[in-house]
Amino acid sequence: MANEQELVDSVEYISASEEALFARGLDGQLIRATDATLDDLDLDVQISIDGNPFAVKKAVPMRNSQGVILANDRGEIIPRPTTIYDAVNQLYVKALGDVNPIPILCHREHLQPVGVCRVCLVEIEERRASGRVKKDLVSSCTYLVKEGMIITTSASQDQPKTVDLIKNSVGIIVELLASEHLTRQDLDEVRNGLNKHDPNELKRLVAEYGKGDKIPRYEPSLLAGNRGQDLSSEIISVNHDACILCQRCTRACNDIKQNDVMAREGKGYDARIAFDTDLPMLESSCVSCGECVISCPTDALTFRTSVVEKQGKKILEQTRKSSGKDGTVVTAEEMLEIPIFSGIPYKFLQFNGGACVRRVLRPGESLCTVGEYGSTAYLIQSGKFEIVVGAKPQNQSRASVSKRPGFFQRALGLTSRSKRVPSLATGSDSGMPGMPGMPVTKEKLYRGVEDVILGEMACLNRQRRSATVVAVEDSEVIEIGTNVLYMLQRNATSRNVLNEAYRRHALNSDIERLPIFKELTPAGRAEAARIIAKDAELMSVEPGQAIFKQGEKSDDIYLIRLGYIKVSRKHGTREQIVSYVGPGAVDGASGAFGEIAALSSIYGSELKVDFDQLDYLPGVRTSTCSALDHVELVRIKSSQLKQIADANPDFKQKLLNRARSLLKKDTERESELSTGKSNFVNQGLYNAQSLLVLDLESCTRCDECTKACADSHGGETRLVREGMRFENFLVATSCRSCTDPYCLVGCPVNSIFREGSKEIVIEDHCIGCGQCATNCPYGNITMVGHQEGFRGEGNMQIPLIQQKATTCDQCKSIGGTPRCVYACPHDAAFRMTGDELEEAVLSRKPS
Amino acid sequence: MLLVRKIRIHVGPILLAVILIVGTAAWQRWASRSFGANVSGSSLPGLVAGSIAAAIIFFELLLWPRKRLRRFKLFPTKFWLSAHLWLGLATGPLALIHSGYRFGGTFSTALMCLLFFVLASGIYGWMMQIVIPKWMLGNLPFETIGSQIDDVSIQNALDARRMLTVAFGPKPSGLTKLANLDEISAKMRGSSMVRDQDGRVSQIVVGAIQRRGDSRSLLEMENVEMEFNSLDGKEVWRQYASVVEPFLLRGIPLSMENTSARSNRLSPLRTPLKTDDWFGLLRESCSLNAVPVLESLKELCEQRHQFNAQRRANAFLHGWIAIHAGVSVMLGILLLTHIVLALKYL
Repeated sequence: MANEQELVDSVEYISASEEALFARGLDGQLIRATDATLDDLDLDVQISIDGNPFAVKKAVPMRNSQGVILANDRGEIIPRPTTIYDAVNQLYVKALGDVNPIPILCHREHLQPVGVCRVCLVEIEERRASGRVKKDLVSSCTYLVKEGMIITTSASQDQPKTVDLIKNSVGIIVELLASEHLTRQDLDEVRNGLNKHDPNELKRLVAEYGKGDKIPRYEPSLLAGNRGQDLSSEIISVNHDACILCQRCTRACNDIKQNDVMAREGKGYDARIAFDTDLPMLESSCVSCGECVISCPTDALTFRTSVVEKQGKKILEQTRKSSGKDGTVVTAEEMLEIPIFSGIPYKFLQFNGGACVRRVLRPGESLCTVGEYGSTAYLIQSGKFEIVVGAKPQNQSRASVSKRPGFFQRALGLTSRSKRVPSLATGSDSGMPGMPGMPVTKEKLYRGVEDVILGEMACLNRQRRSATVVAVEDSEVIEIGTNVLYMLQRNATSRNVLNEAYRRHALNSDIERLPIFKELTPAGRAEAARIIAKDAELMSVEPGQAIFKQGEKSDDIYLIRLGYIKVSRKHGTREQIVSYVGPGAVDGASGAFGEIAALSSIYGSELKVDFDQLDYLPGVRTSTCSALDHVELVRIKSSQLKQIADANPDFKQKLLNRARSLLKKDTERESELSTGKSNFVNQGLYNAQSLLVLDLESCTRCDECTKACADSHGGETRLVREGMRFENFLVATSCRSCTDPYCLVGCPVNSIFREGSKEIVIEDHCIGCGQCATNCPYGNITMVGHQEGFRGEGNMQIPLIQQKATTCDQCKSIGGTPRCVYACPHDAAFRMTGDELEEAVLSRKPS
Repeated sequence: MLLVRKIRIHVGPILLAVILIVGTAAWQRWASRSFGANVSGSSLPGLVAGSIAAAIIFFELLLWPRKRLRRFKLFPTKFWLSAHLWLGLATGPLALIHSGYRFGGTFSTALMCLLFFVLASGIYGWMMQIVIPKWMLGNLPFETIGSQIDDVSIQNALDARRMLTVAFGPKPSGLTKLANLDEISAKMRGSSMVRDQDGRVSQIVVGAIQRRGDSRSLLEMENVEMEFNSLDGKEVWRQYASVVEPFLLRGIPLSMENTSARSNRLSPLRTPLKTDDWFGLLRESCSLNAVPVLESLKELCEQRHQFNAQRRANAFLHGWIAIHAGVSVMLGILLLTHIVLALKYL
């Protein structure tokens, strides 16, 4: 019977006024629904963890599963309250190999916490409003930190009794789960010692926290072992008996992949995971992406052995083929021994067997070449590498490499006359990498084991490689695919390592080459790069997010490293797009924007006359800039720019002149706004490197393009003669080789990539999950079925159709000349960039 | 820029055609002058002109296999077509030069007539392919892929049904029965278990299945927040079932049944003007709230009108090819016979 004080505490604990801050979860438990505020991001909360005084922020930025900080429409960071688990993580996990002492089962950093398993117990001491100090065991993944809270984890040295209490409690929980969901064989394994890399997290927890010889201490329910299996899927096996209902699979399916297939069904002991409306997995809308399997902490969801074997073979074949180099495959067990991979699920590494390859390089051997696209990064194991930024070997033009002579050329011996000029018809490019207008430097940098990783930039930003990497001594690397990098990003520690390396590489490689500094002397450029690299912020902006808004007061200047931004201005309630800009393409090819406000705030007196004439208020943004796609910016404070400009009077004068001309141009723009730009930007054409454009005035709708495509690709067309129209041009549904291809994001098996040149390639180990097709906003990826064996049902053999994503690779796989253009008899089909289309449209428009 | 490119493609074949015509004509003229009369096929210039014309005709026939062998890089097809057009045109004058500007006997006259018929059909087709795409561009904004018209129409009908269900609820009983589109609809939606007619699983699909999106009108409709009248619903459903959907699915014929009265056979929506009038009357019989639904239905009908027009335009665009190709093959056979006969009696 609770005494009076406890009743007061319990009322205060979830008082009536607080009730609104809570909601009941599916299982009837109270879950927190407290919204954090932006101020909480800066507000310190003093707590004590295992006797160590520690200050944490009341809230942390909300991140998506890849660790990207989320922002709202106003560009403000979305905060979420700091949990005890976050705080303990901050205290204990600082470098690779550090471990959070709190055990977890239903929780993972990249998932929304739900607190269903209660394994992450810690003891807290907090002072209630009544003044009484109350101790409690709480789940750390959902419980929020409060001022003065004293937290004791199982790692505490000073509180052995509390540690025992926590461990006992965790032991009871995991043994109860084990009694219900582990098989006899599993329990024998636990008793006899587990394999170090056993993927079953419950077994590992039981081994660690279980008590005594008789594990588990509890009897299972009558339903244990009778919940059944779902073996309908060809890819995934479902064992309901092993399912602990931790909801990791449902959160992975619904929150991460947004497939919305899985949910919990039933109540009490009967509760289990279900697909759609409790259909067998095969008949549901499951896309077999495997996200649920790699999220499952038990053996409830596993890949079928035959699938793992088949997939491993395909990936290995592909890895060897695409790299053209020898290497030894790194097994999942070997990978998990490397600290940075320790957070990656075993099942993921197992399913992607063959994707990680160990390579040994001799001095002079190159790892990657500037200007080429790449889908792999290299973890440095030993040795030293020379990084040649910006320089591209003369003899490695992709255009000349990919140009395969035609029948007549070969027959007539005209093979040596291959053109290197960009061609409208073939869409081939001359392939110079990096930012337009950037001076190419031959600066040499060196990287070694301390730099952890190389080549990650091309994988993460999906752009061309910005440097050539050559081994200068005997070296060893592990080549990993983009999908492995994505998995590394889910874990804060490995993400920090990656981000640090990325920031260092990005700032070192690009700043000096930014077009805005091209007027400076080489020494001046180096000094400018030094000043900026010291304090500049590398920003990543998600599509649609505002960078700054019209009318705001701010004085930062932004340099675009990657992606495109939209410059718009409000006229009454209507927003009008003024222009779109990419790296090096900002007015006057400076590669920078936001200069007017920045320069006006630091050189207000020099520019006063001009401002007065144009009725401009110094330091105020004249337009809104927002990201059109994944944008990376270098934010420079105006004081840094002033420091550079003051040391270079000529540069300063040029900046001032530029500010005047930009301001004048801005004022003139008011009268020349049109809607043409909006359509162009809204349809994403700025992003296109190779549109299939049909001139509808010449096109006779003979479908020769489609037929040629189908004939050349095994009867499956990769283009559809339908799409958006611009004047008399039709942009057909066919891959446009976007500068920032959304389709490459999130492939679980890294089967879609760009290797070398701009064309998107989908390899045979595609598992047909449709992620790339969903990501492509232009519908240019289609799912096509290929028969892969049979399934025996009684005496019937039912054909198995494996879906695979298919997209136009501009006939790269069959010689490089797009057959659609080649086969058009009426010269109505073209491959062109978005800018070329805009030019063609404008030339046709009546003035 | 594109125009310049287009002209460039034709320069070579035009020059070649002109050179061939002028060269052989001049040679023939020179030979005729020394001979005193127009020399014909048996003379050297005549034989050369005839041989060139024959070679061109056989080359012209190669366009067909070239198109069939699309996947091979046998020189871009646009150059083949350009050569086909201009050299093909040159065959007429070359044949006349070959014959010494005479028709000759029955066989050679027939051959010459056939040649000019082939040329005429080609020129007609050429003109069609210049004029009709421009017309389609200006007049058929809803144009789709010709072979997909039926599929798009079915999709439109399914979307219209969903729109009416969203607005007015399910179709009241007792109205004209709607076409059974369940099977087609299921096929369009896709499924991981493909079943045959007997309901047995015939295929198991592993992975994501691509689904088609909704039509524009439906999406717009779902955003409309309005209270709809049940009386409107009954009337709109009635008219939809008896008139609109048959038109969306079949076009002009109202019914597949063969009835004698023309008005019973043809849809009241058969022309854009009649559609306008018909929807005007329907609007009058419904309340104002039903207008957005009726506008969406009308837009689907307008789309169907454009599909009908597109079908006709496609017939003009491509229908002539069968005749042109047919007579070209006949010409080739007669030409071979002509060559054999000429060589036999040389």
